[in-house]
Amino acid sequence: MYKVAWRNLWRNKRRTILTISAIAFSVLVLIFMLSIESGTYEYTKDYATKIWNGKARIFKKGYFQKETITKSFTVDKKLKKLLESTSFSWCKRIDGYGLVSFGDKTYGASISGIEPEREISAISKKIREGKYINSTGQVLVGWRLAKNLKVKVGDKIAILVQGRDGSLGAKLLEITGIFKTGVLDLDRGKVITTLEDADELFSMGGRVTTVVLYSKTRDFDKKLNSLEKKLPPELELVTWQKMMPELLEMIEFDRAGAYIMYLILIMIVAFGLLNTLYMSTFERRKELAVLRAIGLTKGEVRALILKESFFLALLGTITGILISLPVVIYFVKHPIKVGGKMAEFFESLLFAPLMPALLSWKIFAGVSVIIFIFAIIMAIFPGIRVTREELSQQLRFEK
Amino acid sequence: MEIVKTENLSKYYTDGTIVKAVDGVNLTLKKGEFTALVGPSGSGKTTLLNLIGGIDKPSEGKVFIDGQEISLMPEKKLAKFRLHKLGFVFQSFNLIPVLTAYENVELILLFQGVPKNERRERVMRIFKELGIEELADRTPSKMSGGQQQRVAIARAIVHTPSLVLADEPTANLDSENAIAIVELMKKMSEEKGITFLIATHDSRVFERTRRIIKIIDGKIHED
Repeated sequence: MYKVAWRNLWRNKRRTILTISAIAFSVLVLIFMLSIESGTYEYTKDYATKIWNGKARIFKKGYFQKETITKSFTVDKKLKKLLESTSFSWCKRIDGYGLVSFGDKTYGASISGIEPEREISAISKKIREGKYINSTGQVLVGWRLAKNLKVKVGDKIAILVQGRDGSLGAKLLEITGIFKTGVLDLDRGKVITTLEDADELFSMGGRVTTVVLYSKTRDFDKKLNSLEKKLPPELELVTWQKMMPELLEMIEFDRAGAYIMYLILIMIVAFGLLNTLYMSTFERRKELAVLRAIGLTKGEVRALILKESFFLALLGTITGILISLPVVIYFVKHPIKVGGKMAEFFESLLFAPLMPALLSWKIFAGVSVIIFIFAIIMAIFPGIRVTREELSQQLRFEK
Repeated sequence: MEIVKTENLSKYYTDGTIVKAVDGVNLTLKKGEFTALVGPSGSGKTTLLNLIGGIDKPSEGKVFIDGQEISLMPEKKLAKFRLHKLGFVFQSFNLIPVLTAYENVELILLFQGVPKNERRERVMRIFKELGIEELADRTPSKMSGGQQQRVAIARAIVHTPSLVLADEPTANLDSENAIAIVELMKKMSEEKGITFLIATHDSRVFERTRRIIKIIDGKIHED
């Protein structure tokens, strides 16, 4: 029956080639869009976590639920050894809140102390004016905060905080750089100084509020689980998904919108296929009836139509994959760049202004399976329709 | 030995009024009989063939083929019954256009699950018997009407069925081919003991059959 099904396809070459082309084009569009989408999401996850938060953080238990400087910990030799046994990049930070003043202007801000040489975020690459900090007495300020305070590089700002022990901490620090991340919270309310200065300000006595982890490895989650099990009981691991739920929601929302579009595209192909199968089936009604008369069951006739649909889907999918492969590889090597105002908009949503494609067999296999499932579903209808009629009516024995 | 037996076989259609296409037919065909079913257009010849071939369900009565009642058989079982016990020859040949003559004939044996070597042997044997070996690799579009009908006969008898039902097999053929086709069917009936029931109003056909059943208004008028 495969032979009959295969040859039936080529009775109307033009129609078959058009149908195969439509399937191939849809496979190309689906694979291309899914590859760009997945590539962009992966890149965005890296991009967004790299800006400041990291892929995961270690906190004292309870800190993440209620950020307070009193919930801090020491990175002792044991913890340091544990962190160094992983393949992650890591750095210490002190995060707290305080007041920032210049002249007659005072604003509340989030104050962070970092190890400039070990810092793993991309903050050093986001300096728009001045330079990155490299010693104590220096501070970086978000560009919006700088604008509000009316400060420039070289100005000295006063920072006033409440320390871990309840005492007041104050320092006069020189602005060495003004950064612009595109993330409103950082640009409007973040001040970054050295870990030493923050330690003095908050009276930390060598303690930190967080250890930031970063890695690009694909099995990050697995390795993170292994690290979590080995952490001292008073510490906890928080992943970027928990720290940045808005990014995750944004990706999910974006993906849901895209899926609706994919579904529409698949439905267009499916109905095109249905049309082809209906036409090719109904112009052979008598022939199919003859097959039934000489001994095929209704199910076997339906299976024949199914096989024709299978061949159409197979040819369309293979052609689509062969066209998609070089296209996806090109966009892996040459990502789409988003520029101008659109890039700023993307950055404000934590989305990377770069859209690389992801070459993944899962996407190719997924699209192929979906097209096949729809091809089989679409073949069911003409099969049922053509075998539902009375055999004697279809045969029209006398004429 | 009875190959076909019908008991009070009737088929009614309702179209405002009740139309009796076949009306209480009692008929028996013995093994190897070569019979013509004659009658004017609309007399019920095709309906009777359809009922005997299990293509249509009777409104009343019973059909027995080779001793098995087929009127109540479920669709799937009936399809397999037709595959093994019956052969069909149609007026417009009805070969599968995408298959060669060989493949068209082989199809029946393929559906029956006959092994490849045996299929080849049986198909070539029947081609030889019918003198159509040279048509084996041709598709229907490259054959004349007479050639297509010879291939259709090969398809109908390759599995040596109990009964071959032929509906106006010569209607689309010229005189020379029509006579040749009837003679061919007759020869196969005699040599293989296959029962033939041929619906026709072609005198070239019924002049060559041993038995003629005349049907008028769905009833057997003469036998």
